[in-house]
Amino acid sequence: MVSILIVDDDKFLHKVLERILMIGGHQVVDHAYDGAEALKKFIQLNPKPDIILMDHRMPVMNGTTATRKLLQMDQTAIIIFISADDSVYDEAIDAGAKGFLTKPIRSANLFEALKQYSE
Amino acid sequence: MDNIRLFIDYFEGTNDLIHCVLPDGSFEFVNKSWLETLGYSDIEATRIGLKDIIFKGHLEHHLNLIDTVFQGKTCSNIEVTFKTNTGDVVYCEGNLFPQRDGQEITAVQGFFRNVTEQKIADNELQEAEARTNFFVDLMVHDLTNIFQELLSTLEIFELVSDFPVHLKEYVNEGLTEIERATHLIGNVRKITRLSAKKTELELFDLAEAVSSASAKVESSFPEKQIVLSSTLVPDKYAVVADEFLDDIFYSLFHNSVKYNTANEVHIEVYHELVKFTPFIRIHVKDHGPGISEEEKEGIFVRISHRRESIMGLGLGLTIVNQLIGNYGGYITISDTVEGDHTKGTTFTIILQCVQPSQVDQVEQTDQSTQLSQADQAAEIAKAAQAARAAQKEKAEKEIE
Repeated sequence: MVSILIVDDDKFLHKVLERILMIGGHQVVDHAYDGAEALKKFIQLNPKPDIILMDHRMPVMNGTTATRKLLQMDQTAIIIFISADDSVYDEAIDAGAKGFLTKPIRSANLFEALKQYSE
Repeated sequence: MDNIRLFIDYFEGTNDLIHCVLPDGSFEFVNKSWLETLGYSDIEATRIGLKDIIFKGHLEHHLNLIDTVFQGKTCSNIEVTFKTNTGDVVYCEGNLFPQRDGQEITAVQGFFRNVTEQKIADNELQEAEARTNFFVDLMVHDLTNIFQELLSTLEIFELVSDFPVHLKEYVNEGLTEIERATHLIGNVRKITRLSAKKTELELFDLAEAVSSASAKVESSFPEKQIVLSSTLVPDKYAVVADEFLDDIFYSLFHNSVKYNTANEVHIEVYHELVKFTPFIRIHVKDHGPGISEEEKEGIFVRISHRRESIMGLGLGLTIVNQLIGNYGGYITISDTVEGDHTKGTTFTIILQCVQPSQVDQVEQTDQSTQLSQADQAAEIAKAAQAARAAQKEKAEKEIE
């Protein structure tokens, strides 16, 4: 079981992703709807989530900025991007993301990534 | 006297703007086109100076250029923005020359071509392209998010144990359709990016691209067995391409598998070097339902009304054609069995190739052979260019 913080500005996506992750035996410990909120939630969470699933294009603060700031706070944080925009792949990896999944992603690929990066 | 008359007639008859600036910035001479374009009369022109007709933001730069010319230099191909008497902006390109009286530079002559219409058209085109790219990007991004939601929702149905088995077929169909739509909008994004800027070309291993594309197609059709036979050997042929090389083969293989109703799909990839040229010819042959002669015409051109008739090939082949064109190659289509289009399709691609052994061979040949190689390479490049021009013309005719 992997504990997950979902960061995405799409509310319905939170709902369906949480359901899928639950079916896969994982636990969504919190939700954030932009990068700035992700930072706040991450500070508050104790214990910290095993993995942060991060969107890129969000209001207030985008995914790569949030990733840099999160990793400044905690270098051990594991962040996987889930984005519809694959052109930000390099930017995301440079910011410190461990993985990058291009939307739309199938549950099997998501579970595989969670397994790979949480080990 | 006749010569002076000729010069005056020329200056007064030209559409170019001509002026002669004195050291104090006033005008010694302006021509008729200058007066008409900037909206001044002869008398007004004697009362104004350079500072009155140069757009404020460009004034300092232009005065520096004038100083340079007064020091004896010439300024060519300069850009200057003039301001008319009524405050309108006139974009010009031109040259500045020193006017000499013996050793002394007495004035600066300026010859300018009015490029306002061209500049405005260029700006409008750039704005239109930027707007198109913005909307395409926005549409692709938002649609992809919507597809993600739909896909995840359907997957929930697929994953829950108590979902009725007899309805799972519909869920699977829905998932396939979402994948199709995703692929289509991904292609829209790709084609927009390709149009916006050309990527830098490098050498890519051909066999690796074929192998990678094959693996991707296999994962897209888990229910089918794909038998790919290829004559290409890794690390032997490097072709001039970019990161999208895989997409060419992916698109061709994907179509071959998609439109073949058999569970086992055979695709053959074989190659030959185009003798004495730096090109390689790659054939991708399938044994599917084939493409009729009518459909073959303009198949690499995406025309909306053709969509149904070519079974939703969508933008894939348009991208293939555009990519290969960017690489300096070209693609043709033929029947696998000559004269019977129902027995499958063979795509033939020509790309610029580097092969280590061939490079050595070229170095050892005499000059006459090298000339022959160069001629043939030029001929092929010319043929490729002609083929692309013909395709473009055909597309334009169809659009009309």
